[in-house]
Amino acid sequence: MRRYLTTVSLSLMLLTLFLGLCVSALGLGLSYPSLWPREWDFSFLSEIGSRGQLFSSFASSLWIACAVAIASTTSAFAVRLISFYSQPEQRLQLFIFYLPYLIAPVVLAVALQILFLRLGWAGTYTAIIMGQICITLPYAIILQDGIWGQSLRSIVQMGLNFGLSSFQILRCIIWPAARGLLILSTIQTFLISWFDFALVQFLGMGRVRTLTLSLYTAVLESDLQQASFAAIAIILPGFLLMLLFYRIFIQKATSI
Amino acid sequence: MKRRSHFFLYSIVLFPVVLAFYFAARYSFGFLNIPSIQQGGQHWKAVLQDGSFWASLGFSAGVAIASVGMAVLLGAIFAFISYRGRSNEKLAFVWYSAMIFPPVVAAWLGFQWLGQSGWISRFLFQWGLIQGPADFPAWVLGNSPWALILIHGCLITPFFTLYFFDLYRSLQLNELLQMSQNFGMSVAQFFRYGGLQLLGRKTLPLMGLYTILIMGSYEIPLIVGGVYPKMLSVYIVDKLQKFDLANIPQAYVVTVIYFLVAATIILIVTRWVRQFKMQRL
Repeated sequence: MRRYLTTVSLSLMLLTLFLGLCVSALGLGLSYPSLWPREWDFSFLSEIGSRGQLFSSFASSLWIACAVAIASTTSAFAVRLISFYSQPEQRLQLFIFYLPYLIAPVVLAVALQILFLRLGWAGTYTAIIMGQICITLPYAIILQDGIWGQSLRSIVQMGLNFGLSSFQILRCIIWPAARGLLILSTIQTFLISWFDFALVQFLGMGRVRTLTLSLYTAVLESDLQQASFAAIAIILPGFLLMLLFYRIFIQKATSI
Repeated sequence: MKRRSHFFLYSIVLFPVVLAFYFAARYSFGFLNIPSIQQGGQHWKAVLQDGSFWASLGFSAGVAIASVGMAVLLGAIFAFISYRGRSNEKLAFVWYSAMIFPPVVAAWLGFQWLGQSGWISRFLFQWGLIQGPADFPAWVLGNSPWALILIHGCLITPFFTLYFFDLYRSLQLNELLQMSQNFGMSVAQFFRYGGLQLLGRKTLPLMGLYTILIMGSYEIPLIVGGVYPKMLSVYIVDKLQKFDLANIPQAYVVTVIYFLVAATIILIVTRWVRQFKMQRL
């Protein structure tokens, strides 16, 4: 019984948070002491149908995140493939790969902004995608550490000894070994990009609106309804991806 | 060949960071091509003599350390309560699904719940515990760090809980506890004479990394934080975009300082990771 205590209370807490978001997204007349809205407002459905603000920022968020996820995963794969025989020194590698990920996104964005202004990319999708790749690429490379070990190297060596072509090595040895972690790395980099705010704000220069940015502007305009909608729109795809991620990996590997 | 492929791997990751650092360092000395901004080291002097910079550095560090401490404590306790060696997938899933809140949404939820006219304040009012929104403590948009610590702590608690579940399993904590109880130790004594060192050694690198991560946090202090002291990221952005053009080099000075501080901490942490890996357990 005791082991269910924390989990049950946590799930109640999460449900309460979500309920609070839904109530403030759909309710009208939530002035101070009232806990329940005066009336309900479902006009957002027509807004989604007519491709409103939220819809367009959802679309641009989705497009940026997909581009970042696919680009950083494939290029991390390519980088590891190119430097196949190198065995990086553990500590230096950790330091270098943690650096872009852990330095505050704002700091990175502020510094990258100058660079992109000079390149003439500022305020475009390219700038945001490139800036986010600066963070997600090292992350993806570290995540793929599990594939590129000594054992894979020896199997590839064996395949070479038996006369496989490089395409066959890629298809029959590396791909089956890498598939799972590649999906994982795609999901994770998608989520990093989906949740990102600082890089979008600074590199987008206000011309690109993603969901996180529209949540922030809604908070600034104290448009509580819009902000709650944006928050729900951010959370739900994340939840679905987490479900997928969990189904694929966690259930087998670690469980409580 | 081998050296070169190393170099390729590292340079592709480091290139944008080094370039960004170069520009930031250059701009911090005033090389901006804006006539009214003087070139030279006086911007560094101005920042280092500025009390608000040290206040925001200390404030960020304090918030980061406090929220990581809270998350580690809560995570260790939650994991200890529900850890019993057997596996149950549904329990883990709830903790995983608690990790889907990005900082922006967490800030908005914190605003919604902890604000003076937020849900908690409304509940307290309905129950007659407070007379109005003014009676509720001004954590959100006030100058006290409590809302920031609470939100950051809650944001990373699920991660640490899952980490401690894993750690307890890999250290076989149940068996260790059983053994120490066979020898007549209480649970408190077990943690005092060895358990804490064991867990701490494994957790310390992660705590260091999360401390830097939270020190550079931006969205939450932007939405929830007060006016003074600010957290570092917000401080940098304010220097960059608000009030005075002549302050722009100062923003880059703070950027460079933060860069160096974070790099130093990461260097120390990676050393720990290695040291602890070499020691057994």
